[in-house]
Amino acid sequence: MNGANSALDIADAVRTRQTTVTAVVQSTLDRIGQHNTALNHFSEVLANRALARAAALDIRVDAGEDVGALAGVPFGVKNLVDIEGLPTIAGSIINRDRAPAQHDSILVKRLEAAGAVLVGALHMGEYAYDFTGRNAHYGPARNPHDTTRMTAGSSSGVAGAVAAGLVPLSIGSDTNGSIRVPAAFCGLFGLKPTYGRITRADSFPFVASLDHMGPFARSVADLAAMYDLMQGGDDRDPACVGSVDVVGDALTEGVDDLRLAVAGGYFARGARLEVTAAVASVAKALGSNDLVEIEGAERARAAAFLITAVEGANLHLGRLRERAADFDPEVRPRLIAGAMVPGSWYVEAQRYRRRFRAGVLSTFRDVDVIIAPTAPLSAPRLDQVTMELDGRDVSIRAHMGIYTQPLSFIGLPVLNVPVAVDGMPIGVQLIGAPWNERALFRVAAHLERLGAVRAPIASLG
Amino acid sequence: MPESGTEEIQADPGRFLDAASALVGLPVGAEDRPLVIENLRVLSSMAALVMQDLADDDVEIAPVFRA
Repeated sequence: MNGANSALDIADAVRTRQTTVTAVVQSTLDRIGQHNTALNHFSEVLANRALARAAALDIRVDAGEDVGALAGVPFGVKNLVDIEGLPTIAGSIINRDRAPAQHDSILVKRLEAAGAVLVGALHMGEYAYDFTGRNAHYGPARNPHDTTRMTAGSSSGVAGAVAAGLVPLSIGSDTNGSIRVPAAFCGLFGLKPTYGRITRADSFPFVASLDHMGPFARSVADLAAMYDLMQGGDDRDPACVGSVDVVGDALTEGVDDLRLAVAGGYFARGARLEVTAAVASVAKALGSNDLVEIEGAERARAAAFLITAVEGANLHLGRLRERAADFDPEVRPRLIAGAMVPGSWYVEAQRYRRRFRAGVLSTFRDVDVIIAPTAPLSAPRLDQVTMELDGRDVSIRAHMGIYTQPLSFIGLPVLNVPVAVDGMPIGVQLIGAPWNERALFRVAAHLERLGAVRAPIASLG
Repeated sequence: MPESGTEEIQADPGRFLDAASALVGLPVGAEDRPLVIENLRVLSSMAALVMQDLADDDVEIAPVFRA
């Protein structure tokens, strides 16, 4: 067994002594070694650490101890997550000069406390300002379903490694869609939880107002198992509320009592026909004929865009002054432009969050889960810089988040489900009211049982 | 001067960039200038949407600072 197996199957096999953690980890490291040069998903492979931890877990298993729900499960983290002994590079070369992290991220600790084994750090777009998976310093992460195409970003290798079966689970971050769009392009289940649900402590930030951490997996059960372990309070993140709602028991509840609707208006415009068809197929599988309008979504997206530009630029202002030449040339101009934005635009964008949130919350009085496209198209080619949107040629980096940005703007929980299609994967967003991740997991699990969504491992050459 | 300044930036982003660059203390290299200007155009078009209808006086930005 290795990263190509499901997390829960691995844990079960370890607990029942059908395999050892060492065997799982060694096979996973072998698989990573075989494919990572071509795919470029791992930026750092922690072979010694992982094998040492595996050996320690095996001793505990041999002694009859239950080492946890993710016993022996290998996982990776976006390289903005702290790993003891490594500088947290966040996709940059500048951060290689930072002091090594003195301890693991609390999220790594929570997963490892449940028996999981960290095997490495994963590729990302520089400083998370990316929707492409390209990185001038480290090369592009490649979509394992077609290595000439994008993984999307900024959680590029984070999604790619799970889709390739290098690991069954990974931790990413999402500011404007950086979990959901890579999950869509790579054909995975990916959750952006409610803002404040999961701590961002021990990770390199991008936009404090909008940053979220979240899990990727190839099955809803694996995603739920990981998400349940990631939850918990953390005073070091001022946004973290500490509210915990375990969802693992919700997956068999069905959807009969849930009110489901497809997002119309803004979310029904601009997408390619195959994306629209994917949304329709999910709605059909769920028997949902209702449409709902999320009023103000276009303006919300614009406000999220401004907040991202301003907070991201301010975070990096010192580095832009002192080390401009060391930035990715595709990222630097966006950050510089963000540094020039008038303060009144930013404050008004922040104030609009209140108004938009109030409107959306009233929408959720009549519906539990809203269905919408994740991205306007499937994965573009790696060298593609622009895409057509509403008849105009626009920048992929700037505009791939048109359907994801309005939602993270007000911190709604969103789960990307991979629609079963021929050709490149297509993602659909399941959107819930704040703190109602449970409903999203119920719908995703139901769709998975129906066969309407699935996340097959990419066929690697 | 237009209400939000977005029209002026759309019309002449280079002039705005030169002024803002000096104010912020962030020089812009010649190789970046076209892309920075392109991004300023996008940002000002976003701002035009945001600034079209200002929030009421009692709407605060969401606080994260905790004393």
